[in-house]
Parts: sequence; structure tokens; C-alpha cells
Amino acid sequence: MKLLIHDLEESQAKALLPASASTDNTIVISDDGTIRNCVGCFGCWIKTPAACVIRDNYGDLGETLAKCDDELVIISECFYGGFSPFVKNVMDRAISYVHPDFVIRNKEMHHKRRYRNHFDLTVWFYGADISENEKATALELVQANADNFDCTVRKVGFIKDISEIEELIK
Amino acid sequence: MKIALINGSPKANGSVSALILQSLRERFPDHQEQRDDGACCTCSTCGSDTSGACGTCINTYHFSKPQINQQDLAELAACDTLVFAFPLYVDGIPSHLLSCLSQMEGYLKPLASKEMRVYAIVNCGFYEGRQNQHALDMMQNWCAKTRLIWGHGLGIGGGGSQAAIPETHPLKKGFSAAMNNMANYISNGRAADHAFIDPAIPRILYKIGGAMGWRQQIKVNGLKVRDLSLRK
Ligand SMILES: Cc1cc2nc3c(=O)[nH]c(=O)nc-3n(C[C@H](O)[C@H](O)[C@H](O)COP(=O)(O)O)c2cc1C
Repeated sequence: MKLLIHDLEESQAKALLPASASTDNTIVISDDGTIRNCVGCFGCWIKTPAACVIRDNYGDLGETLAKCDDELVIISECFYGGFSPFVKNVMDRAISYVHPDFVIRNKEMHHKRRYRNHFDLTVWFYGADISENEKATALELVQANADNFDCTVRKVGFIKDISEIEELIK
Repeated sequence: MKIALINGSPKANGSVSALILQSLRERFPDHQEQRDDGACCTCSTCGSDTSGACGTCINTYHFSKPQINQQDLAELAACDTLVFAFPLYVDGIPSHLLSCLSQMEGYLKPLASKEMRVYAIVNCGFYEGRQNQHALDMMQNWCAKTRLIWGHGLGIGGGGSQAAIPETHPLKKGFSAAMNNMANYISNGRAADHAFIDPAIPRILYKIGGAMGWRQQIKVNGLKVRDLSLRK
């Protein structure tokens, strides 16, 4: 199963993303305008393990990540060298993907796996004026995310205009 | 100098970020909170001006939602220094705070003549303070976009364990020194490279402590230890 997380508006997504983006073997997570933010309660580890305590449309993102055993593609506007608020919200609400216990991986502390699936990570950052510093931050950030997800970075790309995405993710 | 201390943790109460800001606040004993009506707080750090116009005061804000209200925005725009303290979320800035920063960028950028300095303290759950680097870099990138002056960033590893130790305890030495530096840089409007601190206890102990903590907490919630590993 592939997973696509993006922050495009519905009309943009329809126009730019391939029809395959919504077939049976790809799960798409997009912004329906109702996502609430993580409140830092750790309930997804110790109250309702593996599920977020906030039961909006985004309460089972950890479980969704666990279904991804192929590629996770993220399309996000670049904010200060990181993801957009919506994409970041999805990441914050998905920490039940990992187990609370610590492990040492690549000489640094990370979380133990909860699930056994493995995926590769591809990220497309878009924005008209992404600075060189922002690009450098973004590259390091995605690698850090991959260390925490215990996955492999396949590609990180930067595009000026979101319309370019159509060619890139065919 | 008018300073805003901004807590960027979404937790209503009991955040590590609040403890960190409290500890920083204690390093400015002469500064008082400005009164709600904007009148002078008579802290006398500026001399004898009691008009309230000197703005030698220090106020605390809490961004726990993805929006900032207009009054807070206007007050923040009148500050000389912004100090953010927030938790590391997935190697970056918590999403609600990111929304606030974006809103501030829109509000502050047109006020280009403003000389405003920005400092940030990011704390995380993992042991290594250095894991906060990307979040600090993003704050620095935000400053560049918003045309503010970046001062200094501090990354605190094992934040909860460090903040909970009493101020005078020997295990708090590294933390206190880093906070003293931060307070100095703020007072003098100075800039410095990011600094990172780890807990004063060995990593293996911190790791075991963490595992014990989760086991205790899940039992308090009436669940079994094995539920920590539940899969959906
Ligand atoms: C959604 C979420 C994501 C987190 N991501 C990280 C992380 O990537 N690295 C880390 O070391 N700690 C991470 N933490 C742990 C927090 O940074 C840590 O608990 C911090 O002390 C909370 O600070 P606060 O009490 O000021 O909110 C995360 C916590 C939450 C709730």
C-alpha cells in the first residue's frame, strides 16, 4: 500500500495528481478543513494505545502509516524549511505509529517500532521563494524524520510552482 | 526593553516549556509585568518614567491554539524581544505554533522598520539536545522571512527531566549555565550560535527511566503494560 499526504486544495489535487493517486493501493490524506491539533497528552501511547484520543477524521493516522509498505509521498508547501501546518499536523497526530519506548539507532535516541512495515519516503516541497537555508534545513529534517520512522529517504525535491508536480509523480 | 515570553506548548497546564520560561523569568527579577491597561508597572528599571511608554517590562503569552488574537498580535508587535519556548514535535515546530508563526509573519513583515530580536528554547523527549537543531534552524529561517533579527537558540534534551530538578541541585548545572547565557544574550541584544544541552545523568539511565515511566502511567490508566505495544 502506498500513502500520499498532501496539502493541496481539492480542485488542485484533482487537476494535478494522477488518477492512480486514489486507487485501491494508495491511501490519500488531504485537508478537509477539520483537523484539530495534537495537544501533547500522549493518550495515543497510554490511554487509547495506537489511536489518538481526538476522534476527528484524523484520529487513526498511526494505523494508516502502518499500512504503508511501499512508498510514502508527501507534497507540502515549504514553511521555513519544514512542512506546511496541515502536513505537520498530520505528522504530529501520527506518533502512535511508534512505540513509546526508546531505542538507540544511529547512535541517537529514537522510538522503538510498534509495527513491522517498512516504507521509503519521498518529499516534494513547493514554494516560489524557498531560500537556500530553507532547502538545507528541509533536507536535514526529512533525514531526521526518516531516522524516527525507521524508513529510507528515496527522494527530496523542491519545486517553484505546484503545477510542476504533475510531471514528477506520474 | 520590552520582552515577550511565548510558551508554544499546546498543553494548558504543566508544560515543560512553562517551567523553562519561569526559570528564565527569574533571571530578570527587576522587570515587572505591564498592567493590562498598558500603564506603567513601576518596576523602575528604566529610571523614573512612569508613563508606561518606556516599556521596560516582560509579559508572558501562551500560544496553545493555531491562531493568535488581534490584541496579542498588536502587543507582540510593540516588543523589542520575543523569546519562544516550545516542545520538539516530530523533529520540528508543533503544527499549531507553525500556524501562529505564519500569522505573525504576515502581521510583522509590513512593519519593516521594527528592530525586533528573536530567541528560542526548544525542549525534547529524547536525550540529545542536538535533536532540536532543525526546529531552531526553522525559527532562524522564520526570522529571515519575517525580517526580524535572530539572536540565539537553545536545544534541551530530556527536557522534562531537566526542568523538574530544583534550581540549586548539582544536576541542574548545565541547564542553569545555558539559561544564564540565554538571559545575558537577551539583556544585551547579542547573537550566538545554537547551544545544546543533554541531561546530567547517563543516557542508559534516562532510557530505563523512560521505560519505567510509561509502564507506571499506563497502569494508572487501568491498562496492562502489554497494551503499550498494542497494534491496530
Ligand atoms: C506529537 C509529539 C511529537 C514529539 N516529537 C518528538 C521528537 O521528534 N523528538 C523528541 O525528542 N521528542 C518529541 N516529543 C516529546 C516532547 O518534545 C517532550 O515531551 C517535551 O518535553 C514536551 O514539552 P512541553 O511540556 O513544553 O509541551 C514529541 C511529543 C509529541 C506530543
